[in-house]
Amino acid sequence: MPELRFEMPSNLPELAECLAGAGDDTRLLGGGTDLLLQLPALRFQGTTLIDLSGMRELSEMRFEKDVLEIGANVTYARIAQDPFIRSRIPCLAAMAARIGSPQIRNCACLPGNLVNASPGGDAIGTILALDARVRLLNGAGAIRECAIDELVLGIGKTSLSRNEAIIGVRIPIPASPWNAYGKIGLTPRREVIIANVSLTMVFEITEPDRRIRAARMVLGSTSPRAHRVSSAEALCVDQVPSSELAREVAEALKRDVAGTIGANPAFQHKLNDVRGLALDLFHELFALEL
Amino acid sequence: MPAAGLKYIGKSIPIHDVREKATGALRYAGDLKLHGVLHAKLVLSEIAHGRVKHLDLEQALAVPGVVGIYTYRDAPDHPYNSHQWLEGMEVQKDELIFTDHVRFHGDRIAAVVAETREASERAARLVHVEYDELPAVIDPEAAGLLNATPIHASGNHIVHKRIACGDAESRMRDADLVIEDRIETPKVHHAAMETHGCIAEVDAQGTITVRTPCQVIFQVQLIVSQALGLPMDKVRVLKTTLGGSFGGKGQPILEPVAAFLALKVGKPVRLVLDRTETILSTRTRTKAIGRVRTGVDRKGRIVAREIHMLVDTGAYCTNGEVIPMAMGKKSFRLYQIQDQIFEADVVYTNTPVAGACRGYGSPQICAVTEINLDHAARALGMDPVEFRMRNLVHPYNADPAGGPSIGNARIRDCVTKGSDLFQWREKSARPKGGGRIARGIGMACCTHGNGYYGGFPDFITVDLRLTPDGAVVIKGAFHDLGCGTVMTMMQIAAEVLDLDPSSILIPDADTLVCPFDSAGTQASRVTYVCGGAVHQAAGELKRKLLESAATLLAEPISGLRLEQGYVIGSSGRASYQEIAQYAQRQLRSDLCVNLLYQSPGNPASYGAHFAEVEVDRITGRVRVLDYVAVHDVGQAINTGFVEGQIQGSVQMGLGMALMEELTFDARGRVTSSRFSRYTVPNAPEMPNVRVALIEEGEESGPFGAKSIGEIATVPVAPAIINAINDALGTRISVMPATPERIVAAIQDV
Repeated sequence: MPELRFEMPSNLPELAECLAGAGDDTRLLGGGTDLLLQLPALRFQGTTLIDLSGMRELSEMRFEKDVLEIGANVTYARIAQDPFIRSRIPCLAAMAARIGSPQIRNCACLPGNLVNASPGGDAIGTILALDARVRLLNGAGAIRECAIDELVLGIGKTSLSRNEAIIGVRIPIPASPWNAYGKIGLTPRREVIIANVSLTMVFEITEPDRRIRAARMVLGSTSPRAHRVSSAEALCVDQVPSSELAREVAEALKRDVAGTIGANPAFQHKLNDVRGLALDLFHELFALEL
Repeated sequence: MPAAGLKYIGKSIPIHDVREKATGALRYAGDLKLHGVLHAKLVLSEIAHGRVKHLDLEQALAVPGVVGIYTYRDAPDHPYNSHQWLEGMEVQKDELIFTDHVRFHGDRIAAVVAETREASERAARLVHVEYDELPAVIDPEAAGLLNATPIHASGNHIVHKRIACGDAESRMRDADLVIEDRIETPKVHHAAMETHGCIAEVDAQGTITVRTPCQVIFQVQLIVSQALGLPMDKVRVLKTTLGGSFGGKGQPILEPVAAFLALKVGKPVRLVLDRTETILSTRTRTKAIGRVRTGVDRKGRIVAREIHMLVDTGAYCTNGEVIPMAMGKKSFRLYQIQDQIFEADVVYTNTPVAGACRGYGSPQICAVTEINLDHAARALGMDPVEFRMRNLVHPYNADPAGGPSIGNARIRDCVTKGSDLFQWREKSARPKGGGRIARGIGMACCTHGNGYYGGFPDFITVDLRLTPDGAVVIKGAFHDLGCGTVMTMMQIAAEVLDLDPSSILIPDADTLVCPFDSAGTQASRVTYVCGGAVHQAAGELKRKLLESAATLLAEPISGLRLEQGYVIGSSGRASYQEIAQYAQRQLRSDLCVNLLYQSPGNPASYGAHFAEVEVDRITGRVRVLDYVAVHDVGQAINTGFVEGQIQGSVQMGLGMALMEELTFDARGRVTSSRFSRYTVPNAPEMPNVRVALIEEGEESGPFGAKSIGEIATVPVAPAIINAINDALGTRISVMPATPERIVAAIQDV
């Protein structure tokens, strides 16, 4: 039988060394929640696993002045429970609190979701809405940063080369906590779901007039990769949040989804879900009667 | 709480193997390690209907570790029907171990046997199958019409069944209103935590031993012997610990396959399926399309009813000929309807094979008729509870179709108690909510049987023995599926013998060790029939114990009583241990009983469920907010188990109502063959289920007990659908009521 090889670097230089020798059969092992499912198949082909769990420096969350850096080994459970994230970046906490199941969240980390590049990848949309940058290390020991839409290219496609690894994500901390995340499942269940539609809304709101200066709205699961909806964003600029605005935004998002899904009957319910979800998030953020 | 005057009956005692389960010490079939065991992997059809044109095994055989690949060319040509549990039963024998005429996505073509699991899996992927694809019949309503491409040589229509009483046709003409519905229930997967699997081995004498998580050891023995053309005494079956069944392991599916492979290779063979294989190639709940017409008068009395069920049994018949009768009988035992016709047609389709599934047709017919009754109540402008109360049976009403006595039928008590607990009246008066979120309430009533009496032979033989160390050993074909059968039997014997249940041993069922049982864990017969046998046999053992004690203590039997492992007389006492030893030494006797117990009847169990839901009019998403389940169980033997059965049943029924469904592509391939596409409700979906029991006793049951395990899932889906319809004013007719279907139904209003 083909071999299963295992490497366990403990710091960035060692990881770079492992990456330098990486081939097509090399896989990075983070939380393992996706990879372990593939392992029976990978075993037949011969695989090298690079286990990141020994790299303590990737297990940290660092808060700088206006940037939060989340290491590649930080689990969703930690992100979801972190008091600072919950108060300042609630969309990130909410996304992390609903990805997979509690067991998954106790193991899984951000990079896996990003490199899977699934249209339903929960983290991708939120990372895009927060305008975050992904940090990558290569086999030469060099670190580069890129935006998520430079990394995720399409369904299952990324720009990651085989000797690169995601070592962290840098998230600009929004000036105000007016942001929210929600998803509605592909199936009727509420929890432990794959998103039929996910939505992240990030608003920049000035006090005391409570006017929206800027908005970023990202839809997931409605197109091959998560995308911003500029038509909905534009509706919000210089507006005070209201029920009417919420309904307009919901309709704009619905139009966007209609455009991306086309006539495929299997996707038509996304139109109802996106409308409901948009109203849910407006209600959650601004306590509007909808 | 123990029932009045009883020590163990009614008490919540944990399941007998709770410690081993909680610590992981228990071994399921898939965990068993037999010396020299080989691993089998099935090659399943990837298409819904066709002929295997060519099978290329070359690459697969080259995989290191492969011992052999066995196909339809090697397997014996002895057709069988896995649903048959008694020799001589008339059944359609249309199953084979492997086939080249594949009739559904998941049909068995071949199996690889290898030294390791990995090698068997790898080789199975390398078996190349070329098919001549045939048109697939997926829609049961089209099955009869498509006899041009018969699934079996006999055609696609299997049987027509009819039960009738009175003169429904002419009484229907007198009705003030006739309410018609067409209601569809889905093909669902049992979703037991343990997937299917078994191990077979052959000894030097050619006896095959099959270790399997099953519901009927003697049925496994019969089917394996039939499929392989062996005498029954060449097949020994041992039941292993079950990780859930719900009827899914009721029919022997893998056992004949594993036994065949073990015979071929002469070594133990382990055949364990993964989830996708279990979804595709084991059994499903029977899909049904019901058409019902109910005639009512202005006072809210049902004057006549006509029901037709189209039963989709999938690619093989299995219990297809029996399940419509199981459905039909229930419709005569819940409401007082003197003029009623029940008819059913059973068809083959090119879909996964239907079989037993918790409720055995009852959830389907209950959904059809109870949703229809709510429509009737709505048409009459009458409260659904009030409408039902005008029509429900009373204790000891005769079954107008001639079935066995319904016994102490306490459905009216269930409805009254449930309405109060649920606060039906108060909730009815609440506004539905005109905005995005609508609220509604619904309820449904149900009935189910207690065994096969009146339909099939229903008897069990049990051995009870008081050992010289004071313990009691009970041998019988009891199959604990994880729901507490063994402890239930222990509690019954413990009560009769006044002995702590921990002093009672019930070994796992084994065809070589257990006396014969006619039907196993089927038909909700275990507590009522098997429990009845233990009750009577324990009584007999008690009599023998007292006789011996009377000699030992030199006192008349009339002055003796049992207490906590002792026989107490006026002048002294003797422990059971002393008495058993005394009997052996001085009386040359053993304190043992072998008892044949024939079921004395088939009373009906009843239940009423109440659901409150919240529905999002935009997304069609449903949340069940409150749930009350009241059951007429006669007497709970173990209150914790009864409540556990009800809680789990509600979860299962909620799945059928809202999300569970096998779905197919245009060619009939299953598109929901894994849990990310086949959704079962998880804990966050569950409301607080409030359970109440009506314990008025059933004379013929042990300590008055009746069945609960199946019936509790019967009324769940219609109660929830009725609540959704109440919230929205819709007429949802296809289950599961997915968000898409709910939004479509709103648009139809």
